[in-house]
Amino acid sequence: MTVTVQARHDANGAKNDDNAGFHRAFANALMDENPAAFPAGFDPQASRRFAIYRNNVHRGLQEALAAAYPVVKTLVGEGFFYAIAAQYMRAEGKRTPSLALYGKGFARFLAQHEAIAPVPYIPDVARLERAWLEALHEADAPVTGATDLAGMENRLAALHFTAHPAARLIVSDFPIVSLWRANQPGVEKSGSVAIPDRAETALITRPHFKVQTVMLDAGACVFARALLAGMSVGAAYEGAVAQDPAFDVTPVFAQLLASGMFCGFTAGDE
Amino acid sequence: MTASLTDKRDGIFQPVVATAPLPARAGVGFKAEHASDVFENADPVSWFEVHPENYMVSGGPRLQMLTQLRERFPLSLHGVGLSLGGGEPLDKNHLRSLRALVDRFEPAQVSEHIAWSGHDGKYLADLLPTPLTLAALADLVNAIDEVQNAVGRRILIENPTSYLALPQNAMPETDFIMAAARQSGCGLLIDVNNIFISAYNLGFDARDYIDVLPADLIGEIHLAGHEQDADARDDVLIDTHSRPVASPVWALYWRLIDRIGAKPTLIEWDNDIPDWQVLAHEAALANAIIDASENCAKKPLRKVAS
Repeated sequence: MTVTVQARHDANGAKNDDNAGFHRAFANALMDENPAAFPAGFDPQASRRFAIYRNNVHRGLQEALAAAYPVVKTLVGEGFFYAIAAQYMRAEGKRTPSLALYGKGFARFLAQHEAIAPVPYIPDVARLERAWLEALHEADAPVTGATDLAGMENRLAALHFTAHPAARLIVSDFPIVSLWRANQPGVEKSGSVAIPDRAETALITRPHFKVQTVMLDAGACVFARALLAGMSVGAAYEGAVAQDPAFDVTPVFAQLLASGMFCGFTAGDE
Repeated sequence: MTASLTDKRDGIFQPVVATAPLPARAGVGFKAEHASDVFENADPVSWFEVHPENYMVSGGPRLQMLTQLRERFPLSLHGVGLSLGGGEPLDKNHLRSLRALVDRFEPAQVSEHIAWSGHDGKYLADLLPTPLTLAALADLVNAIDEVQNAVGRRILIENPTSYLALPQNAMPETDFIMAAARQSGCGLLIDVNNIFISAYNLGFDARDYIDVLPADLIGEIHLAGHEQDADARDDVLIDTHSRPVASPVWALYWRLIDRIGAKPTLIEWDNDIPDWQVLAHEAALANAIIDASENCAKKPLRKVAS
């Protein structure tokens, strides 16, 4: 690859390094709060048509956010969602040129937004949707299931599991799983859906190429969180019983193994 | 995964499918909605193109599907995020991600736009206009060179769609894109729909643009649909990729390949995505023009004796 780089001087020999200035002015006008803003020096036709670029940019970013947070959009309504998406678009700092994982800080942005205060469960639903999206695109790894533990029956308490890259635990004071499920595409929208008034925990996994959402009760949540943190099964069990004296480990352990949240284990110190 | 593009025995990438150039026939932009149709019978489509940005993730179903696609078809990676015309240093993480995809999927071709899509660390999610100046040309050539070194191969750059004439512009767009290609050693991806839209919006003759493009630089052609802007006060076409290719764009395409010969030709359809059969029909039309153009070239009309 041979390159002849042209000197950055125009025909008159004047230094012609205003390229960065052009981009700054254009980008600033795109994000200007005034929808009629345009860069200096534009003729009437160019200034009118600048709105096409402005619309493309705003729509591109806002639709990417809507695609990442469909349930939040349904819960708050389209008009409100796009108004907040426009604010988020201006507020969020550095972004990558891939929209696949756009909207990382949206739940935090919502939690700090005064208009969201009357509906405090919305940021937690956003956390669940973000975890779902991250799980979708996380690294692949083989899943450890019940059959992988054959022969370990007497040493289960000493096992430490490795969290699958896609495993996410979202703990909330609100019924986020019920809200999320009731607002999935394809769910019957006729009449009202009863949403229980309770705290819910979502376990998100992607055992193969399909994301799964499992609801855990309080004891299972403590147990799963301890295992994800690398604690032994025995120590995790003690924590769960402390939280919920009626905690029954056998079905919960089977549920967690079936969910695909682990990708390996060690027998620990013996 | 039952089959894989890579031989993982030693943990080293070893392409099982040899990388061949894109066939000089119709390809289409791959959409997940069409996966079952494509894997069953993709005729008359013989290659596929994707935006690498959509695959810059760690794992999961998207990469799995692209692996399956690449096992069956030649692939073109067509970037929208490098911001070659941005006049600022390229995003090194983005370059590394692109290199990783090139290494993994061994695409037949890698291309990008003559445009910018971010500024000062903020991604702007659109292909914005590069001023046609010597300063911008020098920056663009440097950027192309950096990409070609990073991915280890020659790339193609695509002519932009214009909605307005920048007051900074100091040379014809054809001079600008040809100089960028000659100076950087890259090739051109000619989007005929973009030329038609720009000519309509800025008031020049698209045939003049088409007729000066040098055959030796052109590695791929794009075709797509456009729409009239909803703003009734302004007569302007928008590059929506949401419709069948318009008749005058087919005519320009025919004019171009009649002169330069058949090239890999992509049908782009990114919004209001139709059924596979509709897209396959567009690809069949492109192949029909390629065939007709080649037949005409082989059999020149006899002179009629006077």
